[in-house]
Amino acid sequence: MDLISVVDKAGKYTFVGESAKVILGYAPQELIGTEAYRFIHPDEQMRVDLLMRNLPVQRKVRIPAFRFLSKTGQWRWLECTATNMLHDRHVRGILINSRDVTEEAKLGYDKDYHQAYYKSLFFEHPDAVFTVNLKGTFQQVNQHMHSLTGYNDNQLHGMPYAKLVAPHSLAAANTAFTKVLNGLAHSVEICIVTADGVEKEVSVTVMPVYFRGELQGVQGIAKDVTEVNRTQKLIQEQAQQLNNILESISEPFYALDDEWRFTFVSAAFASFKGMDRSELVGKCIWEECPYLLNSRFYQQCLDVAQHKTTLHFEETFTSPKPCILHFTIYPTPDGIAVHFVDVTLQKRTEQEIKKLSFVASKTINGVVIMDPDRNIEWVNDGFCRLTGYNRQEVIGRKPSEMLQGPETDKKVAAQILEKYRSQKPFSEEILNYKKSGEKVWFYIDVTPIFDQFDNLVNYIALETDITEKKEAEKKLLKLADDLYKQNRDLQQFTYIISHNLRAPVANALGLAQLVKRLPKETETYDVALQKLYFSVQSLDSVIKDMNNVLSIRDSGRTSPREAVNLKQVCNEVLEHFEKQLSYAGAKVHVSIDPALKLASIRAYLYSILHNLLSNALKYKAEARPLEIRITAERDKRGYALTVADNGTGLDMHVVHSQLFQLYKRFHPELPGKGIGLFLVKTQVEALGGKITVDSEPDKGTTFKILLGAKHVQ
Amino acid sequence: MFNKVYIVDDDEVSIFLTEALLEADNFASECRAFLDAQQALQMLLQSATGTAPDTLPDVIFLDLNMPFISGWDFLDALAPYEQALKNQCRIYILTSSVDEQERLRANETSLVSGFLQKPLEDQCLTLLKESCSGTLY
Repeated sequence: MDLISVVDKAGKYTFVGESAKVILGYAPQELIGTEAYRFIHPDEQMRVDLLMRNLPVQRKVRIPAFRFLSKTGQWRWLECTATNMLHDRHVRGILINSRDVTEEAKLGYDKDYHQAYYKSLFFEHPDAVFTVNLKGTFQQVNQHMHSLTGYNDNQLHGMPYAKLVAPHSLAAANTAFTKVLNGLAHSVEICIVTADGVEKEVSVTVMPVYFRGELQGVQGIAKDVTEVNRTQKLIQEQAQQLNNILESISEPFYALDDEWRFTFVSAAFASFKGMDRSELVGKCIWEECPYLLNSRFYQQCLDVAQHKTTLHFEETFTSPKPCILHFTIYPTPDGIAVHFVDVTLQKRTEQEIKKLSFVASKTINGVVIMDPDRNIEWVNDGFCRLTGYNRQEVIGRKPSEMLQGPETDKKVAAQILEKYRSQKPFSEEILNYKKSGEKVWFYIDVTPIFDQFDNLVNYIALETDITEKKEAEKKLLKLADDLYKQNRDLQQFTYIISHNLRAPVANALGLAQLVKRLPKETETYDVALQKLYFSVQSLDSVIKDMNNVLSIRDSGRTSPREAVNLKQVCNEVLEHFEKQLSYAGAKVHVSIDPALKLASIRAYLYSILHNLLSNALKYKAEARPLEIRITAERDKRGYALTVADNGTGLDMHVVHSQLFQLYKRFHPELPGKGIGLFLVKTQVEALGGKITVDSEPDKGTTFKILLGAKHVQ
Repeated sequence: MFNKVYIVDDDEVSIFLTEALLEADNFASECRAFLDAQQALQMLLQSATGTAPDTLPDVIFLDLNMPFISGWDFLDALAPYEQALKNQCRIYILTSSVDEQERLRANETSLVSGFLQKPLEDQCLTLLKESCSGTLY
């Protein structure tokens, strides 16, 4: 229904059709005479006015919809056609034909409104949005497509999607395209290559677009998921890694949630329980292992869950199987985690070690544990008892450096060191010193200890006090030596008895028998008597000699030693022979340090020098004046006393074995009993020394007396 | 009765005693004593090799314990002439020694005809004469 109205030049209504009542609620007379503009919406007055101004030029003006105030106060949309009829003498105004288009205007608004929504959805979408036609070429794209692909609107427009998709992803893209053309909206992940050649992983949601029942194309929303994927992959990797780490813990491990259900179970724990992991996860530990409810473990779990602090402890279980476990329980955000180590064997070993070390500490033998450099790490009480050192002062020291002393055999010490280096078990006997300086003989038995890689980790030495045994051995040796000497003496004694002692006895016996038979007043009788007397005298002399020799032997070893000035003794002997020496025109060279003092027996030294000088005088060479050299010098062990002459000398081949024997004589032309050198030798031996002789016929004789270590003061 | 007897002994008393006993027993017509064994050895070696006019003695009394040259040394020195001596000359060891070892050693020495102990006794001389008579006379 149209409304016909006329307005005059000033814009006032001069005629209004009856339909105004229906359309606007006004009666025609209410409007006539009123200014038409008063009813137009202020926003649109200008627009309408501008169009109306064209009227003088144009005969007709169409005025698109504008709002007009109705009687009820509501705005109605009107669309008008204004016709200039001012010059028509019948009308004399502008004819306005209005139509109420309120309903249509409303519809148009809604459409715009919706379109705006869709536009916004398309263009303002935070992701890249595009449309593709049925051939698969891009039609419309929003701004984010540029940032996603690197191509601008123009470049994308008309570009087939295949050009954008990475070759390895094309198959997936084509499948998705076919699927959406079949009307199925869905999402797909593909890989694209940007204008810069960078690959991006994109999640695309595609949906078919229909218009009036016809498939027009495809609209898609693409999202760059490269980062998301990467992050997700990273998270997965980390999760895997974490899992691997947890699995790699060879000791049992599990996590419980706040309902005491297993959330994670390591393979080691599953095997400890003899169950499959899947059997455990999700189960409540107290239902699975009810026997734990009475355990300390249970209390500790509650404690950790409540106080959120980590706890370590050990517990011995008797069931289901006897074992000792060392637990670590720590809180997690949603429960607790339990890690434990089966220390049953370790504990057993520890107990065994405890027992062993108890034994080691109680044994009377010394036990020493050393590091590979032979530094003491531990010693038992036995060692402390044997050496007098306490444990603290020996730790870190080397037993050899600490225990060996001046009389320790250097050779044996070196051997021991060598054997340590060889890293093989060995045993040895060695003289050691206690802390007090007291000597103690040790039998040491050393065992090197190696770890599973054959690295030397320790030496263990067992030390046994064998002092008594060693002393017994020493005594035995001395006894053997004494026996040997006594045996030798006995042999000589037998010889003396059978010859030197028996000879005068035999003579005396024979003479006694003879005297019995002879007539008393004969010359022979007197001679026989005289000889009997002589025989008995010589018997006495032999007995005296023997007594002398035997007393030297017995007392030499036991007599206390005194400090003897050798030079002084020598001078006294020379004084004794003064007359004889000067009579022989002898020259005596003495080279003895006047300060030299020997730990010896003065009488023996005197007797030795006396005998040797007496011999030198007795056996001097007629052809040359006698020269005697007496020297004393320090040697390796003690002192060497030398008496050398230039006398007649002896053939060593002939005499060497008999020179020092009793009643042996080598100079038939000179008187002598054959006891001098025997006495010298006896005295030298009684002093713990040795005598050697070197001689050459017509050159001279040199006696060398080695006075042993005991002579050193 | 023997023709010639040597006594080798360094002990003067022992020689005196032996000589006295031999004389009392009419043991030999000639008795010669040597204080020095070396001298006796020289005489014997000369007789054995025929370089001296003296004949070998029938009997030698040899002491063992002598200085410079013992009875054993003496026997060792005679050993090379054993064949020459054996049938003409009997060597008896006459010693004061009571050492059993020496008696055994004497038994093993082929040159030695007997081991006598000082002092020499009458019975011993008689036995000697008897044992010799079988071979010498």
